[in-house]
Amino acid sequence: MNRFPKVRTLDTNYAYAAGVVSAKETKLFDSKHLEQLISSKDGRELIAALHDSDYGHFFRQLDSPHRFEETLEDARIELYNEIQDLIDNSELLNVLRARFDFHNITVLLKGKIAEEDFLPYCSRMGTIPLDRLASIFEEERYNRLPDYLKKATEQGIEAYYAHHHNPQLLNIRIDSAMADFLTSNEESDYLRSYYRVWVDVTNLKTILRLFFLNRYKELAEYALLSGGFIASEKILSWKLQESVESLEGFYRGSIYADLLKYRASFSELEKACEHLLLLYIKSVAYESIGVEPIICYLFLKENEIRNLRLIFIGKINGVKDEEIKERLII
Amino acid sequence: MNVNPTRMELLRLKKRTTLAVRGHKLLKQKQDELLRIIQEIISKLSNLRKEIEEELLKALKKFFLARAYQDKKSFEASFLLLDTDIELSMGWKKVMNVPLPEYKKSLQGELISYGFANTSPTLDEALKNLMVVFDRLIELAEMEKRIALLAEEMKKTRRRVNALEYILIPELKAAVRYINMKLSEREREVNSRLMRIKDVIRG
Amino acid sequence: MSGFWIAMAGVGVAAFLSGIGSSIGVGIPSRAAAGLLSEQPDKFGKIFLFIVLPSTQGFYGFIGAMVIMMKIGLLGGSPNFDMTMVEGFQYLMAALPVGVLGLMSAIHQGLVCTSGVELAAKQPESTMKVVIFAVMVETYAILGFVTTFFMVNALG
Repeated sequence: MNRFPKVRTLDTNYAYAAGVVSAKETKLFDSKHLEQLISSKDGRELIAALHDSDYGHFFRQLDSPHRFEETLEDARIELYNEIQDLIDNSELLNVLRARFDFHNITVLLKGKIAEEDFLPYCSRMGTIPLDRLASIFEEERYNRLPDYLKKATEQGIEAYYAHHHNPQLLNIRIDSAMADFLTSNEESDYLRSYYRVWVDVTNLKTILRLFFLNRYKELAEYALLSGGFIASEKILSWKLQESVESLEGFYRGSIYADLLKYRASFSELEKACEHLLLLYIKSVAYESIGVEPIICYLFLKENEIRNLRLIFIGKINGVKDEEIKERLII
Repeated sequence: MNVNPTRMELLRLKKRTTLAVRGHKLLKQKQDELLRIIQEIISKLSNLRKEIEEELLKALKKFFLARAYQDKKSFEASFLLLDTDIELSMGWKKVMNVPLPEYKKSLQGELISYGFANTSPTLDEALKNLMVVFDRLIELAEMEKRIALLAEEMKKTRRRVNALEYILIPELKAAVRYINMKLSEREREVNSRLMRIKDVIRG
Repeated sequence: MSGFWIAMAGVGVAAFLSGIGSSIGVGIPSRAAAGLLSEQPDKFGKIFLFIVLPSTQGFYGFIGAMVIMMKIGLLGGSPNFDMTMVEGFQYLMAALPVGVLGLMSAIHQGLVCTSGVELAAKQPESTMKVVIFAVMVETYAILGFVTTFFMVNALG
């Protein structure tokens, strides 16, 4: 039945949510506001500047700038709860929260291997409550996990033991299981395409990283994610082994060609990649109904929280204002 | 000084004096050499320290910024189970008969042993930079330890040189002079006694 | 069979097609408006017009239906039961413009108005511009109504 892509129909179920979100979107920081935040002298002043913002109720309780991470996490948890109230579709929510679920199973699996309690490193934003997840891993009853997580867990364990106890391959295998899950969701074409672009961008970064680490030949077949618009097999069959320069030929004509201009500097490359993804996210800014505006808002807010984290880290460690500004993703 | 003013003793003391003088000369040379080595290391050290400080700052900044694109938990989780083993071993090397430590770092496994999808490329760069800085930090620690040990040795040598120069050699020389004096006095005594006996016999 | 019943079907088409259109057209922006108001209750005045605009099609359909009913003698007169089939069909045809146009234009106007509601959240100062766009859609509903009116008047 799924031979053809779904044709987008007029989805008016989310009209209310779209209304809510359009009101909330007005509270997102614009670049001017972010620059104001950057110009604050230190962490304390930054917190004071955030008191009047949408994050005010979180930051009013924060007394030391060094505990900003917890506050930002609280803000993110609230964000996901808000979105959960707006989107009445558990499948879609699973996709949106999948990153955290996969993160949690990776962490718990590592804890299992190291025989340590890594529960504090788990994210509270996953779909499965942490105590349940912990008991599943404790009793090793992975059948109680949803199918996609169970498969990822098994693949992760297998990869670890099949490759001489290699934790990197455990990570890589679970990452690719996640990419498979994210790029195969049927709930929203917009979201699926986003993750496919994400896979492409991640693959491009991974290729460059592997060349930087001199490990392309060793790891490329594992580390490249599938599910993107550019199939990983196509990348693997391309004669990349000889030199990284041929990458430009490979990506010529695609939307990713421009990213290669930033090949020389990883931080610029990363910024360009995130910027491209943000452009994709914003491409639905003119949609007024459907689930897209809500997902768009979620991603914009996530991006904003990431920017805030950058500003906090920059301010605490005395990074220059210009350098923080350069790394902002707007 | 308490010595037997005998010819045997004189001979022995003279031998000891020449030995002490030669030893003093050698120790003096050693002291100069140590001084030269220490100065050399110090001049290198201040440069190295400045460079390392700069590099460390740069690498750390990169590290912080790489960290900023991820939340704390996912960042820390990347380093939970590592394939990386860093071992620091210490050996000794003798310079001017001073045992100096030699640190050696060995890295087993891969430095980058996290996944790629959820980590930032800047992190690879930052870790590699930090590793280079780490090597240099070890070099710095090695040099500082060496300087401390060499300075200790230098102090010891100087004490010996001083002991030789201001105590042993003057004492030996005094003893030689004393024996010489004693011997010539005794000779004169013998002479005068002989003259006296000669007078008595004649008279 | 008398053509009267076919004319009655025309009355129904005019009223119910445009009525459906209006209720959908009002429904979509209303939900968006409710969402917006949950965050910014002071925006009610700005977005009220967007809710009202798609409801007009229902009125046009209703008036169109009334006009036909008057013509066939349902209102103030005796019902014209001995109408021929052809005459009945003529009334049904005359009802189509206001009915179908009302249905389509109301839904699309509803979408425009939803965008208007969202714009009211982001840039309250440009809401009136979207009202103009919505009124452009309204034009065709009016044209449909006028067509129906003339067609009915031309009959008998």
